[in-house]
Amino acid sequence: MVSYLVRRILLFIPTILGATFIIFMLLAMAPQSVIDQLLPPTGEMQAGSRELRMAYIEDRYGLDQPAPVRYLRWINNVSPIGFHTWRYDEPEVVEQRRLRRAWREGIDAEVRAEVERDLADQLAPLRAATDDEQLAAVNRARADQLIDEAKRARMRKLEADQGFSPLPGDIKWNKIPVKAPDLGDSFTKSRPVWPLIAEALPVTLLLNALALPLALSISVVTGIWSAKHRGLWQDWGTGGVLLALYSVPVIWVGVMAIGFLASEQFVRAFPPAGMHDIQADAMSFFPSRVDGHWQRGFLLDTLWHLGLPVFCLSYVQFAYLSKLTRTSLLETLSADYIRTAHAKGLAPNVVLLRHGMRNSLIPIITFLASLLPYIVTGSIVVEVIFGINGMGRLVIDALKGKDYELFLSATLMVLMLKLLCYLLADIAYVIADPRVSFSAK
Amino acid sequence: MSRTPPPSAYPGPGRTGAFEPETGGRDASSAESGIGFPGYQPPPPGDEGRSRRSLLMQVIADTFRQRGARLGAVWVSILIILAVFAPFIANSRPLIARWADGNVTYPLLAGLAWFDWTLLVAFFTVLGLLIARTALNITLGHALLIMIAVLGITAPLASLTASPPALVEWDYWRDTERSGELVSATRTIVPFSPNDALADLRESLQRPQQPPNEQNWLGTTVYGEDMLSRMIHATRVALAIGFIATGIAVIIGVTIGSIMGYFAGWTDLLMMRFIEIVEVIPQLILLIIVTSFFGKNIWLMMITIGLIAWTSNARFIRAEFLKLRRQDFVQACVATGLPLRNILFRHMLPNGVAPVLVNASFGIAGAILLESVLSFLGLGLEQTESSWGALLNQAREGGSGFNWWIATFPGLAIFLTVFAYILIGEAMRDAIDPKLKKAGE
Repeated sequence: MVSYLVRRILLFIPTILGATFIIFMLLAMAPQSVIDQLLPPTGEMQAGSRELRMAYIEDRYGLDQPAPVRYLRWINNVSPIGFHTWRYDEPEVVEQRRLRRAWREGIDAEVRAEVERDLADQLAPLRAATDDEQLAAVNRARADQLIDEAKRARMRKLEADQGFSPLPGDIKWNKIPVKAPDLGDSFTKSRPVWPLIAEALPVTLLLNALALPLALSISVVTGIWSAKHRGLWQDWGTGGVLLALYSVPVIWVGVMAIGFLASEQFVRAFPPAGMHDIQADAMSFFPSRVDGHWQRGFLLDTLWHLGLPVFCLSYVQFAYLSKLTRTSLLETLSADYIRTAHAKGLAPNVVLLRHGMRNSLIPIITFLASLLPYIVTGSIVVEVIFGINGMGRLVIDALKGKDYELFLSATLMVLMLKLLCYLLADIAYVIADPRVSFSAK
Repeated sequence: MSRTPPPSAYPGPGRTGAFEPETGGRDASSAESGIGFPGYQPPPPGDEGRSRRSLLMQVIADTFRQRGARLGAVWVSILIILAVFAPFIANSRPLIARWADGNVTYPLLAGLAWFDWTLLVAFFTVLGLLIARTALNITLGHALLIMIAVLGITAPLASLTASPPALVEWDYWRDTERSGELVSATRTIVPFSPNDALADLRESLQRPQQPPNEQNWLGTTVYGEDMLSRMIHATRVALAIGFIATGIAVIIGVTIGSIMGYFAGWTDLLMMRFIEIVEVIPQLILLIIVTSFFGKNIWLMMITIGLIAWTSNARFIRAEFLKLRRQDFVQACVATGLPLRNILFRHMLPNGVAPVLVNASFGIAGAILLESVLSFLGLGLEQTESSWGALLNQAREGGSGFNWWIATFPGLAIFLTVFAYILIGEAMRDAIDPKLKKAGE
C-alpha cells in the first residue's frame, strides 16, 4: 500500500510537468506575447511601472529566450526543488540593472555610429532623396529597423564581453537544491500570488466540503427509497426526475436561483452574491442577542450565503449518486445472504438497511472519491455565478485580466488539487473495500 | 455496419473472407447468433431479422426501442430541422415580395449565405440516402463518399455564387412595406432576423428588453433582438458543437485507444501517461485559454473540445481491445498476415465500438454544456453569433432587474437538448449491457 502510494505520488511529477508544459506552450503560442499581456493596454498607471514589469518578466522568463527555456525558468521558480534565483526587486539586482542602463546610455552613440558605418552600403539606397513622401517614410522606417536590429545584436555581444550576465536576475547555485517556491507577483492585484491563493483555496475547499456530504446524504435516502419501490411508479418517477436533474445545466440553475430567490423583484430569500454579509466581521461566531436584537452570527451568515452555491454544486452529483446507490443496493439485495436474512425472519427494514445498505456503500464511497476532482473544477462556474472568491474565480479573473503569472500559478494549484483528489480516491478505494489490494501482486 | 454476418447458423468464413468471431467466439451462444461481443446475450430464437444485422445495427435498434431514447431522438430531430431551415423560419427578409411596379422578388433566397445552401444540400442528401438505402443497397462507406462528394461540390459552388448583402437591412423591408412600395410580402413564421435590434417596434423610451408579447413571442434580448429568432438560429451552434467536437473526439480516441489496446505493454504504458496528462488539465480552463488568446471562433472551439475530450473514448476502446486481442479471430487475422489497419479497424473495431457509442452520446451533451458555459462566461462566441449560453449570460449581466424570459427559455433549450442526448445514451447503455438492464428491471 505504502509503496503503491509512493509510486503514485512519483508518477504525479511527470503528469504535472506535462500538463503545465502544454498550458505554458499554449500561452506562448498565443498571438499576443507575454509582455503585451502583462503591460497595461494604454499608458502607465504609475510612473516607472512599465519598466518594473519589463524587468520582472525579463528576470523571471528571459525576454529573448525561446518558449521551452522560459518554461524551464518558470518551473524552476515555482518548484520547491531547484536553483535559487534573484528576485527582480532585490537591491543587488536593482543596482546591477541601474549600472547596466547607465553603461548602455554611455556607449549608445558610439555603438550607433559603428552600426551606421557597418551598414553604410545598405542604408545608402534607403536614404536616397525621393519626391515620393510615402516612399521616403517607408524607407526611413526600414532604415531605423535595420539600425535597431544591428544595434541590439552588437549591444548583446558587448554586454557579454563586459562581463554583464545575459540576464540581470542570474541563477544562484544553492548548495542544497531546496528553496521556497516563488509563485511570482500578480500585477492586476498588485500583490504576490501566494497570499491570493492562500485566501481563495479554503473557500473552494469549504464549498466542496459542504456540497459532498449533502449530495451523499440525499442520494442515499432517495436511492434506498427507489430500491425499496423497485419497479413501481415511485421508482420510475425518481429515475426520470434524477436523470432530468442530472442534465439541468448549472448555469441555468444558478441564474434562475439568483433571479427568482435572491432578487427584490420576486423572492428575497437568499443573498445574491458573496460569501459574507458586510457586517459579518463584527458578528459573533454563533447566533446571539445583541442590543435586544436577534443576530444570526458569523456561522449562520456564511451558511445562508452558501445555501444556493452549495445546492448548485451538489445537485448534479446527487442525481448521479442516487442512481448509483439504487443500482448497487439492488445488486446487493440479490445476494444469498439477504435471502438468508429474510428467511430467518428479520424485519424487512432491518434487512434493507443493516444488511443491504451497509454492503452497498462500498461502490458509493469509491465513486464519491472519484467525483472529487470533477467537483473541484465544477466549482469554477458556481463561484463565478455567485461571486464567491474561490480558486475558480481567481483563475477566470486572471485570464480575463490577462494576468499571466496569477493564471499559471492558480492553474498549477488547481492541477495539484485534482491530483490530490485522485490520490484520495485511491486511498478511499482501499479503505472501503478490503478485497482491493495494490501490494499483493 | 459495412459488414453483415452471414445468415447461416453454422460457423464459416464471413463475407469479408476473414475469420470472424463466429469461428472464435468465447461461448457457443454468441457464436450461433453471429456476434462476438463479450457479455452480449443472444436474441431470442425465431427473431430472424435481428440476427442478420450487425452488432452496431442491433444496438441502435435496441436503443430506439426504448421510450426515453425515442423522446430524445424526436427532440434532436426537431433541432436538426430548426437548424437547417433556420433562415426559412426566422428571417426579416420576406419570402416573396410583390412590388408596386409589378415585379416579384425573392429576398430571402437572395440573402442566404453559402453556409445555408451547403447545409440545405447536405440535409437533403442525407434524407435521400436514408430513403434510397434499402432500394439501392448503399453501405455506410458509400454513403460517406457520396456525402463528401456532394459537400465538396456544393460548398465551393455556393460560396462563389451566393452573395448575401453584407448589411442586414431589416428596417428597409418594413419601410418599403409602410410606404406602399411593397404591395405585399409573404413573411416567415418569425419575421425577425437574429441580429435585428427591432428599435422601430418600441417606444423611444422603452427598454430594449421586453417580456413576451404578441410580436416577440419569447420577448426580446437586452439588445432588442427577438429571443425566438435568436434561439432558433442558436440551434446551429449547439448541434455543430455537439456533433463535430464529439466526432473529432471519437476519431482521435478510437485511433489512440485501439493502438494502445492492441499493442499493450510499453506503448500502452506511455500513452496512458499521456492520457493522464490530458485528463488532469481542466477542460474549461484549456478552452478559455484558447478562446481568449486565439480568438472567438466556433471552429477553433469545436477542434479544441475534440482535442481534449477524446481520452474517455480511448480508455473504453483500449479496455475492449485488451480483451479482444487474445481472442482467436484476432490471432487468425494476424496469422493470415492482414495489414494492421485492417485488423484494427475492420475486424476488431466493430466488436469493441459499442461502449464508445454510449460515450459519444454523453460526449455530445458534455460538449454542448461546455460551449454554453463558455458563452455564459462571456468567453465564447461573438455577439453576432447566436448561442444559448450567451443569451443566458445576458440574463445575468443584463442589468435593470431580472429579465426572467432571457433566463428561462435559453436555459430550457440547453436542458432539453442535454437531456435528450443523455436519454439516448442511457438507452444505448442498457441496450449494450444486458446485465445492467436486468439490475434495473
